[in-house]
Amino acid sequence: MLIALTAFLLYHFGSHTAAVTPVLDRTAALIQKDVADQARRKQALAIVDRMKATIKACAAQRSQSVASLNDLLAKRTTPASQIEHAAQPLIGEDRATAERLLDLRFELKSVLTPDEWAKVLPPPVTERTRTKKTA
Amino acid sequence: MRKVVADSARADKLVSLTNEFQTLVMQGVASARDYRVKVAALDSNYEATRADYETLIDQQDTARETFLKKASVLREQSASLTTDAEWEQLKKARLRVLETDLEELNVRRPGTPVVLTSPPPYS
Repeated sequence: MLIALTAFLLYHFGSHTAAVTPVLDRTAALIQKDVADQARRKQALAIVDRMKATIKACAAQRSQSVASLNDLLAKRTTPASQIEHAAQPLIGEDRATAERLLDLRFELKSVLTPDEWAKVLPPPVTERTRTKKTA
Repeated sequence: MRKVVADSARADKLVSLTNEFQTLVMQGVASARDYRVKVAALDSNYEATRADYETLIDQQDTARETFLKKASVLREQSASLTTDAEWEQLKKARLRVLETDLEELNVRRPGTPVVLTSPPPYS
């Protein structure tokens, strides 16, 4: 359960960052393609770059918290309360990153029109829509 | 489990705790996957508000706090039923089980950037 818990905590406590992260390379490519106005296109691409940088910085920051957590999990006798306490920085860092990404999401909205937004961030393809397309 | 822990009473309890942990992992992954689908839907919605996101994020924070508490307690209970030597031997088996669970849910190896929908939602 030691490794299992470590692995799952790492997965679970990055959920906001990963979830708020759209597929940024694809988004950038669609901005290049679908935003005709050069000045706004440039602004939008810069925002996407800042999103990428935010995610990268978060990953670097997390490594220290992960190391501390791993040290505790390596000891069989570490109490549950100590593990919960050590996981708090991971939760806090993920939440803070999510908030920064949200700032950038709404900054991106401010430079794109609704039509451009629909092209650049199309609705996710769900299993249902995928089935319909292939039917 | 029973190969590592010879005492059948302790082994029974450990199997039960492991099953509980596996169920918890499956629920946690499913919850996170659902969360990401909902966030992706907000991402594509030009009119989505910050409050829409905050509500979703708060819900997920509550869910993962609950997961953490339950998982930590299960781990503590398992640890108290094993010796250091048994614990070490059980590590490898537990990791294999977790990896199988995550693969079944289309999740990449933990500790790497996770993409929960495969193929990705914007394909």
